[in-house]
Order: sequence, then structure tokens, then C-alpha cells
Amino acid sequence: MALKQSKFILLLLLFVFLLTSCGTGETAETGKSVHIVMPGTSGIDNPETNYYKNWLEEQTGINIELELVSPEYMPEYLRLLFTPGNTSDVDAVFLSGEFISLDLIESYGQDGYILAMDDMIANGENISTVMKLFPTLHNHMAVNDGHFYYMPNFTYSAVFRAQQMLWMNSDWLQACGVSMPQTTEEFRQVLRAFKEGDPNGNGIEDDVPVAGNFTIDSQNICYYLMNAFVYTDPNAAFMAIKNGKVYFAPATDEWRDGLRYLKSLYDEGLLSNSCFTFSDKQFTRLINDPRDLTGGFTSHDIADVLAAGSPALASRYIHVPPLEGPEGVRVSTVSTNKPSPGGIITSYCQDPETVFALMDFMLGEEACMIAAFGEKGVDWDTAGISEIGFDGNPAVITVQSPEWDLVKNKNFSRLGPFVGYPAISDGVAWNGYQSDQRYLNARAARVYQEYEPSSYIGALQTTQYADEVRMLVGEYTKKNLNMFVIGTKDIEDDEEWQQYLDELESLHVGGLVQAVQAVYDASEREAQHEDSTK
Amino acid sequence: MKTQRNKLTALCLLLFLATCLLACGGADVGGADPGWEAQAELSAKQTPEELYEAALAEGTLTIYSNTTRIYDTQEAFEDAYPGLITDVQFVRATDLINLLETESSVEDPVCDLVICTDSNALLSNQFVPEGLLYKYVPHDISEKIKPENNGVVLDFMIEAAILFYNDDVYDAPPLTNWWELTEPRFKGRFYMVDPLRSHTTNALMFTMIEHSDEMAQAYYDLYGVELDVPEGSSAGQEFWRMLLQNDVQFTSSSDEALEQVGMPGQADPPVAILVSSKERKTDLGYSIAPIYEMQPAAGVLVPCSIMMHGGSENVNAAKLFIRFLLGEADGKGAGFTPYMHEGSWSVRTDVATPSAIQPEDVDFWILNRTFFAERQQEYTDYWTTLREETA
Repeated sequence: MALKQSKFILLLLLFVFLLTSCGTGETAETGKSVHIVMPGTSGIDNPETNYYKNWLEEQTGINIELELVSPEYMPEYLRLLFTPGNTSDVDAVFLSGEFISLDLIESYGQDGYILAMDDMIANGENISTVMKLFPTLHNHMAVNDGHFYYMPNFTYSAVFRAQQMLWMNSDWLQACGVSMPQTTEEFRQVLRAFKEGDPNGNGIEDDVPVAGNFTIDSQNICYYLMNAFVYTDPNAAFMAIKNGKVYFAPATDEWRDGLRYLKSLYDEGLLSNSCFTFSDKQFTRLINDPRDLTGGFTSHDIADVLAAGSPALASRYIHVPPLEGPEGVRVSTVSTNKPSPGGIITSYCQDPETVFALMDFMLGEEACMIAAFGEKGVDWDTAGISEIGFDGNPAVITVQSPEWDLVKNKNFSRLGPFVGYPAISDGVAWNGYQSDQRYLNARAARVYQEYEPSSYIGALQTTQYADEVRMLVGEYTKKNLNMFVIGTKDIEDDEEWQQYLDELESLHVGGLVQAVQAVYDASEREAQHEDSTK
Repeated sequence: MKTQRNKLTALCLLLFLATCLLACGGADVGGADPGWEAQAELSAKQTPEELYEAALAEGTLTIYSNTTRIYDTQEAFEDAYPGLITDVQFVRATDLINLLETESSVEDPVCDLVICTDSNALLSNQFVPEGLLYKYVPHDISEKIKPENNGVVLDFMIEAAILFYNDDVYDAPPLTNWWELTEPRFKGRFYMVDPLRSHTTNALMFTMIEHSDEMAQAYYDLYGVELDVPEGSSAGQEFWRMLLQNDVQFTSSSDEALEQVGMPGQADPPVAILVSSKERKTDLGYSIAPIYEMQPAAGVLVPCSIMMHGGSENVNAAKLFIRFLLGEADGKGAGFTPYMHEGSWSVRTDVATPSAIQPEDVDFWILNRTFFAERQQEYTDYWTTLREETA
């Protein structure tokens, strides 16, 4: 009996040894298992054979039980998971910002369904490195109650920073014999030429000089044109900064001048009604229409607008630098990424340290490379000496497939804890295909970088109250921009303008400005302190 | 004895040639099925009508191209021949070559037509001999093609690799001798695509090395002293070494380099090597102008070829497209219209492109494909080493 027992123990030890020896890297918590739920994506065919999952298991020694949930069902799944009285063996949820809001994270955290990771994050190796690399991350990740409830899903780019870039139809420019515009007045001339010149040559008055929509801020042509008058950033509740002083752009005379300009375009029929009424879907349908109906549009990412795999269409559009306004204003709105929740630990988890160790490992640069591009040597590789990255510097990696962001079953499609390091965002070499729309974006974004203002508000973290005011003010501003341009309100009527300003004030814009100023001042002091201690 | 020696010499030559071919850097590519060429009837005298009728029974015509103007030709082709569908993939020349090599082992190739500059001579020296690519010249156009453009490969258009400057800022070209680019005033102010990523700059680099005697003379003419050339190097190689040391700015594509030079509103724009046909971009508002007066030569003429892919299942559509791109029998067809502009020249004797400057007006070097074939690996290694040393 004792012999049998010792044989069993030996066999068990051998089994454990075999299991652990499968890993090739340094194993942190060997032999432990975690149950993770995440949204299913087209990039994960089979969780059991997923390259990234297996690689993580090998590297960490942690057995990963991956359960996929239909993406549409994800919010409902989370609601049920975090229902009072529920029990579950789900240790963690991997996701990204599109599946859960920060408000919900905070709510679930305060209700005790999600574990605060304050101490673990303070001591995590990779998360600490990432926070040093991106100093604003720490403030952004702490929710309003001061706790850290998630590991980030965050992409940083020094290049892809322009919130809006203008793309113009080069075939139409040539057909009408006009050059790409440099100023708002030249832009008007180009739109006139497009409107009158039948640039698509079909003899029908179906030419839309410039397209836009009011659903997606980056595709709102009015916001883009406003940047020739005053810095316009809807993501910062239209707050801007001059000489260290925060101000609300829509309450300025420059904004009023911008509205006058927009109205004049509208009155001439150069800005069509569709710019104010179209949804983003109608907008993209218009631009991708094979009848070649559009002279220009704005976007943060051209891939958001042009259909994938449409090289002929992509070759038609060229980027145009920011337009200069009558007073010489010429700026590009800076898009600053905030982290979104990439991984949360549930209160059902019996071993949070193991889950955290896995998530922290996923933030390492090597893991993130695989998470972004797939298998090294197969899907991507180190760049050669002759390759140039999207940022114009020597490239870090080259990718093998033209559709390099669509590798199959090699990663989690960038869901879960993930950091898009500069090498991942900016260090990729162009694959040589016209259809690589990221390359088109990069070329445009590098031009727009030159027009970034010296200081801007960006995505500052404020209080929940300020967030609510910000939303109300944003909606009001947008609505009134529309009304002044299409003439429902008279931009030349001083009383009407004053009424608009008064209403803004009643929405506590002043208080919002003060709140943003306070946060801005604090971040400036922090930055100065960091500089002085270096 | 003499016969034996001759045999030995022939064997050595054969081995040398084989080594050269392998050393060209291209992987061994698989050719088309031996019966394909006969079935394709590449020398048949077919009319456009006959080809069109036969093409209607074929599938989508897939074209790999390193010229974006082909999209305009594509649109015109589909208008002219309703029912025929084309799929054009624009790929940078070096990537296009890689793509062809990668796909060469596929039994049923996707690609039907290849449009690419052959400035590193891989098409003519490797892909054609190995049966991956085939030349088709329409019988009623053949005699109208300049002989130098109707050799192993068929060229349909000629451009030149030359320097461009910003004519909005400069009243006249800011330099007239290539050696000026090695001076401090152009430090960090000269853009180009790496020769390993661009057939255009690759052609220029090789050609300058080939014409090292002229490069040495140009140096003397500019500075009044002989260029100090280390043993084992040449004036051409020294030029590229000194250029690299002057902080050359590399881009991924010539369009990027063009934007650096020609984006309006600049105070101190750089210069860049581009293909001459980029001059058409002035229509869009880019402030660029070519420099045709350069010592010892303005640049090198770079033909663009169109070849059929061996094994293509859409032979008739491919033949029809080639005819169309060449401008049909009379040269007046719409297919070549997208190439009728400044800095782009026809290969036909009966078609004059409306460019104010014609190739014969300028002192251009002529691309020497044999030199490329013989020295490709040597100078590729040379350049790679230089890049690593200056990285």
C-alpha cells in the first residue's frame, strides 16, 4: 500500500514536472489556473489553439481557461455576472473600453464586484514600467474614488495624434484645375469649383463638395474648419488654453467668426445639409459610392471611412494640411488617448495575485508585440536596416501580411491588458501596399503634427460632476453651432449671441473652466516637479 | 585540347552565370506549366474584337502594379470593354518582386499581369528566363515600339530618376552638381527612398557607380581637386558613402519624399530624388520642379514594363489590357492617357508625349541591365554595410 502510494506520488511529481517543463520562460505561478471571460472576436477561431493564449501559458506557467462571450451580449453578461447573490468561478474579464464604461467599472468596484488592485498595481513590474513611460496613465487609471480597478488597454502614438485630418479628392482637384487649398478662402474656391465643375463628369448635379456628419466628432467638417479660427476640441469640452489660462472656445469672438464663415459656406450651398443630418453610416456610404460623389471629408483614421481593400479609392484621396484662417490661425486638434479597461479581477476570484501576475505579464513589450501582430517570425519580424517606420524613423518591425491587423487565432485582437508601445504604433514599416490605410494615416498625421498647439487640454481626468457638465455643454455647443450655421439662429444678432452666452453660463461653463484649470495647473506642477527631480 | 579548354571555359562561364543569377538575390522561382505558353498563343495575331469576345468568358483580370496611374487606365478599360472586370493591386516595386517570388510556387497564380520597373533587372534576368513572366507584344503595335524598349521585357512608359526642388521657395535649382548634396548645407535636407526599397533610387545608385569616371570628373569640376578614392572603392561608391554621412533622410515611398519637398508654405524645403513623372503632382498644388541640368548627368532613365504572368488563366483579357495600355494600334487609345504628362514618356515611335522636356533634350544615363545583373549582390551588400555603418 505504501509502495502504491509512493508510486502515485512519484507519478504525480513526474506529471507536475512534465507540466511545468512545458514552459520555456521564467514561470511566476506555475501550475495555477485562471478562468477568464472575454468577448469573442473574429481574431480568435479556437481559444484552445490560440497562439497568444498558449504562449502566455508557456511563459507564465499559468493555465488559462478562456471563455468567449458574444460581443453584443457582453454588457448583459457583465450585468448578470455582477448581480447581487450571484456566484461564479470567473476570475477575470478581459475586454476594452467599448464593452464597459468607466462609470460602470467604478460602480461595480464600489459595490464590491470588482477588486481594487491598488497595492498590486503599485508593485507590478510591467505596469510600473508602463506608468513611468506614460506619466499621465496613473491619473487616468484611478477612478473618481481614487482606486485602481482595472489593468489598462492603452495605445500610445507619437504620430497618430491628429483628431481630424482633411482628405481631398485629387481626381476632382485635377478635373477642376484647382490646387489643394491652404487657407479658408482657398477652401471656399475649391468647394465652388467642385460644386460647379461636375468633377465626376457624369453631367448630373450630384457632386458633394465636402462631406461630413454630426455623429462622429472627427468626421464633423465644421469642427475641422473652426480650427482656422480657434482651437476646437470637442473631447476637451471645447476647452482651450492660452498663456496658461483655460478658456471655453465657443464663447469667444473667434468662434463667432468661425460660425460666420461656416454660415457663408452653407448659404452658398458648399456645405450641404447632409453635413448636419447624416449619420456616420450614411456618410461612409456617400464617400464609398462608386459614382465618385465626394470632394473631401475629415477623419481621425481614414480606415474609419474608406472601405477596407479599396486601393483605387484610397489612391484618390490626398491629405491636405490644416487650413489657415483670416487671422493666421492654423492648428490641428490633438487627440490624446486615455486608457480603457483591459482586464478586471472579479470578487469571485480566489487567487487574485495569480490573475494579476498574468495581466502584468501581458503588459510586457514582447507580449504586447504578439498581442498586436501575432507570431514573431511568421506574422512579423524585426525590421531590416532599409525599413522606415510610420514615424519616419528606422522601423522596429515589419509585418508579413498586407492585412497585418487581421491575423487569425494568433492573439486576442488587442483585447485584454495591452499597451500599444511606440514601437507597436509608430515603429511599423509600410508593407508597400496602397491599401495599407495606416500608412496613409501616418503620412498625413506627420504633416499635422507640425500644427499642434504648444499647449492644449486634451483628455484631462476631472470629477464626475465636471464630466456631466462637460457632456451638457458639449451637446449645447453642438446644437447651437448647427443652428447658427443653418440660420435658425442669427449669428449677426448681438442679442441672440448674448442669449447663447448666457445659456452657456447657466450650464455652469464657468465652473467647468475653473475645474479644468485646477486640473491643468496640478498637472503642470507635477510635470515641473518631475523635471526638477530629473 | 583546344576543344576541351573551350568546354571547360564554357562550363566555367555557365557556372559563373548560374552563380550570378542566384546571387541576384531572388529566390529560385517556379515557372509556368510548360504547355501554358503554347496555349496562350503569345504570337497570335488577334484583333481587339476577338480578344474581347474571348475575354468575356474569362474571370477577373488581376494586375500587380507599382504605378497608381493604372487605376485610371483600369477605369477606362472597364468602360471600353463592358463585362470585363479587373482587380489592381498597387504594391511598391520591391514588395511586388517579393510577392511574385512568394506566389511563384502556387499552382494557380492569382496574378495575370505585372506592371513594374525593371531597374534592378530581376524581371529580365530572372523571372523571364525562369518562365514566371512572359512578354506579349500585340502584332500591330510591335513595330511601333522603340527597339530598346522591346527586348526581354516590354516597356510601356519611361520615366527618369532625378532630383526635385521646391520652386515656390527657390527661383532656380539650389544645386547643379550631385556632389553638392554631400555639403553641409544639405545636411538633413535631402530625402530619398532607400535603394533597397525603391527600384528608382536603386537604379540611380547603380548607375552612378557604373559611371564612376564621370562622377570623379564632376567632383573635380566642382571643387578643382581630384576626389580621394580609397583602394577598392570608386567615385560612385564614395559619393553614396559621403551622402549617407550627410544625414540623408529616408522615406518609405517617393510620395512621402515629394511631400517633404513640395508641401506649400515651407520656409526651407529640402530636395529629393523622385521619378520625373511626379511633376504631375504640381496640378494638386505641390511646389515641385525637376532639376534637369545636373553634373555629370541629370539622372537615369527608368522604363516601366508590362508582362504577362505565366500560367495566367485570363490570357485574352491580359492581352487586351496590354493593347489598351499601349494606346491600341494607332496609339490614340484611352489606356495610355493617364501617362500623357510631364516627365512621362512613351516607348512608341508614333506617339509623342506632351512633355515640354523630352529624354533626348536632357543628359540622362541609360539603364544598363547587364551591369545590374552582374553586380547586384555586390552593391547590395556594399549599400547594406554602408547603412549599418552610418546607422
